[in-house]
Amino acid sequence: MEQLTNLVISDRELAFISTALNKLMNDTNATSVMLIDKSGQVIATQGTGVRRNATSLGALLAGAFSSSRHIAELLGEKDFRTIFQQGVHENIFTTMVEEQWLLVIVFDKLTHIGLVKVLSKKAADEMGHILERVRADTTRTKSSVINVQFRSSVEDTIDLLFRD
Amino acid sequence: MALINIATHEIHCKIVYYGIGYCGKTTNLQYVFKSINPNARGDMLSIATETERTLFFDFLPLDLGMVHGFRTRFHLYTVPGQILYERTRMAVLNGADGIVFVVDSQAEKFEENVQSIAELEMNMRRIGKDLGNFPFIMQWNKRDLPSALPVNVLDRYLNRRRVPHFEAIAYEGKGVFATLRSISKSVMAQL
Amino acid sequence: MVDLKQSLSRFLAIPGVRQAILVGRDGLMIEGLTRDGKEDMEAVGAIMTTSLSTAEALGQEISRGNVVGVLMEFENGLVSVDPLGDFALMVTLSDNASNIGRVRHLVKTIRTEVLEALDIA
Repeated sequence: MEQLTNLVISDRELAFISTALNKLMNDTNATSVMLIDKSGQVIATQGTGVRRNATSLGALLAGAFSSSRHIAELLGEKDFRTIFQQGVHENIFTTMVEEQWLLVIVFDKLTHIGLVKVLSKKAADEMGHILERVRADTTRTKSSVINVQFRSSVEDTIDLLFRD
Repeated sequence: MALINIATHEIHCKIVYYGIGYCGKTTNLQYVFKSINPNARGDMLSIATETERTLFFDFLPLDLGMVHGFRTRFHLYTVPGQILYERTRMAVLNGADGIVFVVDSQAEKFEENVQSIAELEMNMRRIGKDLGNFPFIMQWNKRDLPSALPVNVLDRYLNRRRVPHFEAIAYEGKGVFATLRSISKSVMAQL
Repeated sequence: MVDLKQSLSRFLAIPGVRQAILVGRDGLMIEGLTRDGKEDMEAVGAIMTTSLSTAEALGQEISRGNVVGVLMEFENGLVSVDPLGDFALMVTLSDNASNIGRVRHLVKTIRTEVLEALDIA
């Protein structure tokens, strides 16, 4: 598959994502759920627990996930597509969506991991469909945002903000 | 991979600072963190060993604010430099939109630099990217040290791809922002 | 929240049934209800998954078809393991065998309801 250099997520798709995340959170009674790009960038979150630290969590979880995939390679394993981090009060279940996104579910003792695993598979499949649409849409909608004026304005802002 | 979120009006890009151990990657980020308008940055995250050597990565989120209705964010990362962290570097490189290769200008580090660039080239190929067609610049750091090789020597032997390059003394802040300006613009141009 | 506890409570309504545990085939507990709460439900669920796998291996060995249920009788009680489709098992702990027929019947009855609750139907 040709590597896109970027992904454009429209209003419509973000709404689908939010709905799916919300459903997952309610069905599992999770504390929070997040959808992160594999580069660490946060696409969407639901639930109050993670909002404050979302940026850092995104970077760390993506890093941890990326690490585990390399571990898999070293072990001769094809891939580790999920990670389960078990804490005293809270747990985190992370699963990959089509080599591009990570679905993260934070839950406490009241929810069982078996349930999270089963329900997150369905949610991940749905995210996969959304991702396919996003990929298809991207080439079409990008130019409406990134045009000559935008680039020029951003360069001016860069000069201003990143000055010595 | 740059993320353009039309719904939330945000553009996210990932920039990675690459290079050998102790060449100044973390120092670059620390200087940016210290000097930039506090409104334009978030907390810096450093996953390091007890002796403050980067173990996994440093992370600094920067916010350019609104441009044409879009909030543009740059997330800066550094990789751990020591040889044993090769796989970790690959993990951090994942999804990068731009790379700054930081060079420790000292003569005794030359060989390591050569190896590090070769490793970067290989890692980029592994993730299916062509470094020749990618936002990539070089920083000659530690210009103030006595054994620093002349810039034209470093440029000739390390900058095979003839990418933009900047002199720096990162701990004093010299060249840090010039480097950042260049790589940011390069990343935006590629979007 | 997906209300599996409702479905499981119907097992506890059967006289003599002390625990009802829904376990995934991977051994991880999906939901559990207990009348006295002494035993570690997660452990019971995980161990029973193994026992079902053993039964399946045995079934293949002796060419008697698929496992439709596993019953273990102890001095002080009974454990029944009933497959729920391909993805899960119902594990019930009872005092004795007198109502095992009702347990098995209930497993069949709630199958669709549970699968729907988990969005797998």
